[in-house]
Amino acid sequence: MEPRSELLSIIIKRLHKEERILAVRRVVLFAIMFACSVIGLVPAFNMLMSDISSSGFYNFFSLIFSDFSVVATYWQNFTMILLETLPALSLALFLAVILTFLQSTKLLLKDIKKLNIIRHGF
Amino acid sequence: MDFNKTIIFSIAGVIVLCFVFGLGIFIGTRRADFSFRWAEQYHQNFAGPREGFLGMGNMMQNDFIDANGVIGEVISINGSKITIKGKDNVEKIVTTDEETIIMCQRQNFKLSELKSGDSVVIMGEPNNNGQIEADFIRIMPAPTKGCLKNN
Repeated sequence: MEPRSELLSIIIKRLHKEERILAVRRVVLFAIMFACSVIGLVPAFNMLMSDISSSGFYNFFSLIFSDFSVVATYWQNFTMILLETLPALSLALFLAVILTFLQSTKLLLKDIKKLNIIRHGF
Repeated sequence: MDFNKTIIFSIAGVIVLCFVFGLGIFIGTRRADFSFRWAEQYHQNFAGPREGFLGMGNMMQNDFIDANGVIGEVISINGSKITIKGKDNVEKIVTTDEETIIMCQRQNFKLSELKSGDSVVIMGEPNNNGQIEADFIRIMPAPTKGCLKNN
């Protein structure tokens, strides 16, 4: 039994449709991730700045610029106090938001480009 | 090739994770140790109840104390010991010796020239009495007054 002559084009069309649906879903997903990361950037940055200020990290870190020779002499104690006052949680949160922002931007642009190729062939 | 890369990155990731975890434990242990000694020596250092003078009864419930430095205001100076009210409302005793460097802007200060109310950034090493042995004290000058020495 021979398959119909238009079967190949039907399969190709179906594949293109599936590809388009998949690309649209990915665009929507990454657009949501992008929007969330943009919204989250400001509070994460504010939280980091507030923690840097309240923990004293900024004051100790600025000693590098004002008293470099003292910092170089007592570098062990200086390193310890920087580590003690480093706002690790808010820094990790901020970096995670930045990472999400960059990754979602990259994947969103990639999928928009892909969607254009599927729709218009360029 | 990709599989090998994944394994190498995974191992590197685990090593970094272990290092950071170990560092966290090390720092946490030092802070906990200092906080314990600070609390243990409180009566001797400050001659009063822990909930007393500055109303900081719940300090220990919040966080451990930084062991290698303090930022705050000078409350009193007694001999070679300085009492500092830290940013976190915790009193700390800072001990000084002849090697302690005290500076305000580019001027060197003596301990006797330090006065109550001065804002300071202190870097040092914790001792067994819950005090900080200061290596360096930077006085933060008042915006309008500059560096004023105690007469």
